[in-house]
Amino acid sequence: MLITTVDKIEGKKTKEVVGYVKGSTVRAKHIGKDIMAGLKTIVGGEITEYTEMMDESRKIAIGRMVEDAKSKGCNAIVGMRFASSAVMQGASEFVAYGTGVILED
Amino acid sequence: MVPQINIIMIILVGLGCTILPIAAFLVLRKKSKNIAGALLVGAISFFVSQAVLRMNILGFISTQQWFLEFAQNRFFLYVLTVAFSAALFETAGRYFTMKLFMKDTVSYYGGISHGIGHGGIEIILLITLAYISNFVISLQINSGTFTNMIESARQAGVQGEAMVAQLEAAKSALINTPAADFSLAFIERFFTLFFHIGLSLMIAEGIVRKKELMFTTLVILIHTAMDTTAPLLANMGVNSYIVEGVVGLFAAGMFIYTMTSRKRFENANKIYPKEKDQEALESDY
Repeated sequence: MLITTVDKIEGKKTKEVVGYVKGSTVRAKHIGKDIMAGLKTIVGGEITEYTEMMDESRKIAIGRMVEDAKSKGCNAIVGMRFASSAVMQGASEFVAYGTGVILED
Repeated sequence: MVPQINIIMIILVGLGCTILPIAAFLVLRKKSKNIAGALLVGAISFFVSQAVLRMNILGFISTQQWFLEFAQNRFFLYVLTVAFSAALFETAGRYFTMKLFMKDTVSYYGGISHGIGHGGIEIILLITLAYISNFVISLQINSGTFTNMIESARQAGVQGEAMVAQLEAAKSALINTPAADFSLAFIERFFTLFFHIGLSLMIAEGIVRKKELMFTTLVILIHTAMDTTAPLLANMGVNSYIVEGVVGLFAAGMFIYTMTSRKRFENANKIYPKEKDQEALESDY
């Protein structure tokens, strides 16, 4: 599955635009990591606990978007974007979305 | 003499109760092939949680004076406690056996098969074995050997007194129980099989939809409610057929749940399959 942030892929002809595909997840870390993250804000530096959480969220959101695209018969996703928000203290929502297309071989 | 019609009813009910779970399993097998393991897991679940653990603990507690006084003086609380213990042990059995032995095979048909195994082994342990014993005793009563047994126990003096009382009670029950009343066991087991299927399926749904605490709590509450209602009504002198009707209402509720939950299982698997998320986590996305 080809995933790109541009709207048109050079050298490839789009056979069909299938439409909007998406994947999302809401994730949190356990309380121990939340406490550690809280302590790190005192001294500064990277909060690796939350970096890890957002990495996982991104991967899962893209994975679910890819599954959505596959189920609709797409072989590529163009104009892919991310969006994220904190739905509550220590939990974030991550959304990956784009346009599912069928490219000619 | 035990009337011939009573002996016929004992045979019919014993056979019917034994065939019931087997027939249910065979019908289910037409829908899904890979369910034999879940049936066995369901049977293990009942055997370990009830026959091995709870019955032995209850058997020990029942010999304690404080418990006997509690049962006599606080009947409602006693019934509630016994019902809750059955619900707690059986639900824990269902949950842990599914988590330990079924893992990825927890599904709609797997849950139903687990329930058939759980309810089926209960039928065999409670009814089939008891009715084989009833049948043998009936033949002994009619041939006169049972009376000789009572006489032998009576000659043992004080030591045999309790046994004489037990044997006389068994004899009287088999002779005086109306033939139709034997069928109550079949009616009750028919209902409870559906009840057990529903409860196992709820645990399976909790695991599949990752709402384990909610469904486990719900199963404990429903199981406690049924196990409390039936003995309380019976104790109030309500007609046995009406009591079975109430058991039937619980079973009907579980049957409706069983028939309507399939879609939720399919959707839970379709939306976010665990293995796909794992693949994504291991990828370069």
